[in-house]
Amino acid sequence: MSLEGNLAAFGLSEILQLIAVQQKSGMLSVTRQSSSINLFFRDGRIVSTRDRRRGARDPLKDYFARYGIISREKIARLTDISTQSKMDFTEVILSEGVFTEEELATHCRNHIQETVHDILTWEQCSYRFIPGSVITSGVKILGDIGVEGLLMESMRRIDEFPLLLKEFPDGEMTVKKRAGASGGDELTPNEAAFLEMLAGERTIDDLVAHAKMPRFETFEILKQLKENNLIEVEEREVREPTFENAGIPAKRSRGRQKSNPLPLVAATFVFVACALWGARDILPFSGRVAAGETARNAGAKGSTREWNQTEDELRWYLEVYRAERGSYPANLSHLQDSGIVPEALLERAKECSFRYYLTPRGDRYILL
Amino acid sequence: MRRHSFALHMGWRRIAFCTILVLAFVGAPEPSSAADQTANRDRYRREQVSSGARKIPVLAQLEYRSALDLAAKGEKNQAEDHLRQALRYDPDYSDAYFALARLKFSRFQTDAPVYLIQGVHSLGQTFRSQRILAVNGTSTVAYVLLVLNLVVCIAFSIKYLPYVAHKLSERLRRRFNATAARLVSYLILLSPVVLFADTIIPLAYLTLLCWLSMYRREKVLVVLLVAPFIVAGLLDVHVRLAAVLADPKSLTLLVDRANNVGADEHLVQMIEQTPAPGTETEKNLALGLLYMKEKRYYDASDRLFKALSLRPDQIMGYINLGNVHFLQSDYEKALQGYRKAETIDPTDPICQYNLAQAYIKSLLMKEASRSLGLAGTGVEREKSRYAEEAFDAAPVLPKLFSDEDLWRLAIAESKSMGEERAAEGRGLFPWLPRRAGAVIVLVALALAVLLCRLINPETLTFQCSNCGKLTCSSCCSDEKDMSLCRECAKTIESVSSEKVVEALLHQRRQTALVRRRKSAKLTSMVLPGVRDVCYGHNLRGVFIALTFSVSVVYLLTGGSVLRDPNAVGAHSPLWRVFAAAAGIIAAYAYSALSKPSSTYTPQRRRSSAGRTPGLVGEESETTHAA
Repeated sequence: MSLEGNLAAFGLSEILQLIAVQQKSGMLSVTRQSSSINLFFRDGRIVSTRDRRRGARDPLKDYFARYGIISREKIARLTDISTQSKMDFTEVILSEGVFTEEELATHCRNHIQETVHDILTWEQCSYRFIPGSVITSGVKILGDIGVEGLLMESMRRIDEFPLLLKEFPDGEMTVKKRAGASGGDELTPNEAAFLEMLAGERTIDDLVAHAKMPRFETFEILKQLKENNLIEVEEREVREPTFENAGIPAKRSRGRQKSNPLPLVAATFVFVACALWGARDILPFSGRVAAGETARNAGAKGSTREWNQTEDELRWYLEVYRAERGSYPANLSHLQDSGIVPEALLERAKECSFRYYLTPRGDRYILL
Repeated sequence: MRRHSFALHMGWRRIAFCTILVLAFVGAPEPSSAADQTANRDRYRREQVSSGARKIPVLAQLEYRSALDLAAKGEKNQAEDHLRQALRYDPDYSDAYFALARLKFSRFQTDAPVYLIQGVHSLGQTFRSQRILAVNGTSTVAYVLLVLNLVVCIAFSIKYLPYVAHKLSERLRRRFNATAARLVSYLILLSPVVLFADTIIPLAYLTLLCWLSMYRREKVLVVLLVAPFIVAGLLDVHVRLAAVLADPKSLTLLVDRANNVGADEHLVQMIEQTPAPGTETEKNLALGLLYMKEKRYYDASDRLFKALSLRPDQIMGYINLGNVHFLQSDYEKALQGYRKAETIDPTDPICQYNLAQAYIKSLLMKEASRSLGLAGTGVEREKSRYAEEAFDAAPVLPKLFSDEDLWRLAIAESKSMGEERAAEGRGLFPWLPRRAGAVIVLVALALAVLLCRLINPETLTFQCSNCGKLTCSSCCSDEKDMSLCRECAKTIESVSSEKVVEALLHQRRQTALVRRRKSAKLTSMVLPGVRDVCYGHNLRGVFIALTFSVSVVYLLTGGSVLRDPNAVGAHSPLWRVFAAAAGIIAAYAYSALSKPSSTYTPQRRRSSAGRTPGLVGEESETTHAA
């Protein structure tokens, strides 16, 4: 039996706590307008946010792309491999050595954290929990996370994020490292890496997109660096968008060179010519038809074997006629009337135009 | 009253006139009523017997016709009588035996198989049947082989022409950047086929193209199928012999007729006019025989002496010379002739029989008894081949040409005939390759073998180790000990994990295999047997193609290219059409059921380094493992 409702009845945090306390397994689906997020639970712990049903969008890919953890090109390639090999996306990532299993688990946990943070900020949504361990049986678990800690962290972020946004209200604001600034040993590895990235001037959006960590953490580091006077933040003047600065090429060049149709035309011409020449004897408009036909007819008539065969058969039937009627027929038409001779033979005899003479006594004949 | 009687008188005249007219045109008996027919046949029989005919096939055929008509009406007893009568006129009339067997079968009589066996036996008894069987058999076998070759050629073209087309298309793509390069390559490759479609050249050409990619067993199959054409085309024996056997005016057939008929002036004229280089002896013997039947004893002796002067060891000449003297009541000279024949072959039954007759006439009863004893069963056997009465009517038996003599004569005549006459025989085998065609096929085979030796096998097209798609050295990529096609290589491009590579290649292999099988299913159903050959089931494919070929040839020719004037009912019965159609349908159905072998092994890339003689085109240890 599923549990469902909206924020008017229970808040999401209560629902999450309920699932955690009850140590339930299943899927919590949270829907706002057209967007939907799924959280998978196993024994009350969140194990994944990735809905692997057919046609569902993988939120982990969006997460990786959004923060530049993996470049978009690489994601496309990995997705392609995943589709072709029918392997899971995370499996391809691990096999290809993009991340170690530990790194991937960290990213997954971060992604879960950010997802829960997002849905907790939603003011209107409906939810539905479908219990059952069967639902989670096919879900790949890379890193699970307890609800209580997650909620606490989320609440902290919900409280702090508006303050951070006050510090950095515009994504177009530029940030750059102060001249001569160096954090020394006090900086965390993430802060040090950030400071390196800020050698040149960069917008906050650009930083978020390449920080390889969640937005909140980026903002936190920026705030820390700002407080330590290591970076300076400036409003950026708005420029008219052009093709050049948008990074869009003015004219797309074609990937493939235009192929040459001449060989195809020539080959078709040669083939048709060969076919016509080969079939010249049977084509209706060919001048050779009449000649060929005449030659064939002449062959049929002029073939000595055919002629002799016909004559032989005719003589045979003349004998048959004599045995039946007592004498040879007066002419060949009598032979036809007798019905002894096959029609085909008579036709052939006509073609050969035999001449038949009966002697006056009627006991002999001449066939020429 | 006078007027009335006149009118009455006129009326009677009119009635009488009309009655005569009606009787003349309607009521009068037919020109040949049943009684007349019987009388005519009887007269004809007497004429033939008295003129020395051995058989009366004309009457036999008439009786056979009557039997068929009666059998159709259901009067089977009478039909049987007529068939027996037909056999009395011509004891070797196989059609009559078969008709009797059919009648017996229809009446569930146990002696039906006996007649069937006798019919089959009589088929080989006479030279006339033998020559029709030989010509029809040869032409049918030739046509069946031709259709079989066509099917196998199409099968191998479907299977291996893409190999050549791939190579050519790669060249075209590289050199000219051609649009639809594969189509262009097919058009180029098939142009000679359509140009010489009605000759043997396409067969030779396609064999040459496919040879390089074929397996050894397929090459053996091709050679086996093509070899009869090459041999027949080069020797040309079948054409020359068929020209003799099919021409009713060839000396052989005229001599065969002289064996059986009585006195026949027209036959004498024809034999006289027939040129006989190298066969003068037989010509003179035949003329001697015919003159003897015509009672022109002087001419007969003259011809027989001529024959004996040409070949003195002719027993036939001496016996018939003895007969000529015997018929002139010169028994002394007849005995001389027979004794001379006896010295050549003392076991000849006819010689001994005639010798006995001459001894009886000379009142030498002891010698006559001895000769009759030597004649023994041989004469009885000879008697069984004569029409009833014909044997008894002959005072002495003429020595006739045996079947072996006639075949020897046919071969001798075929060797000595001119090219123009020999060409007549080609009419019986119009689609078979001639000498030039045989040479072309032979040259193509030799060229194919030579090319196999010369061409570096590494440059040939082969199948992708993974998906089986065609690829070649210019478009393949060697990765992970495999020769992969362009598509497979692209699939695993920049993938480092073994596991992912394995999964990707597996998926691609499955997809490609399914697609290829679908397309193969369509194209290979063009003719039965093609699919099996394409799938590598060569023997099964050849068997199906053979069934199809036999059915097609039987449907088109009915098994008889050469007509027998003695045969009745030359029309093709419907069951023959159905039988042939059933054969064709069965071949298609059996071919459609064919499935590819469960283990898929693509044709692998060959290596030139380890090439061993005679293994070109064969899967061997020299190839890279897939």
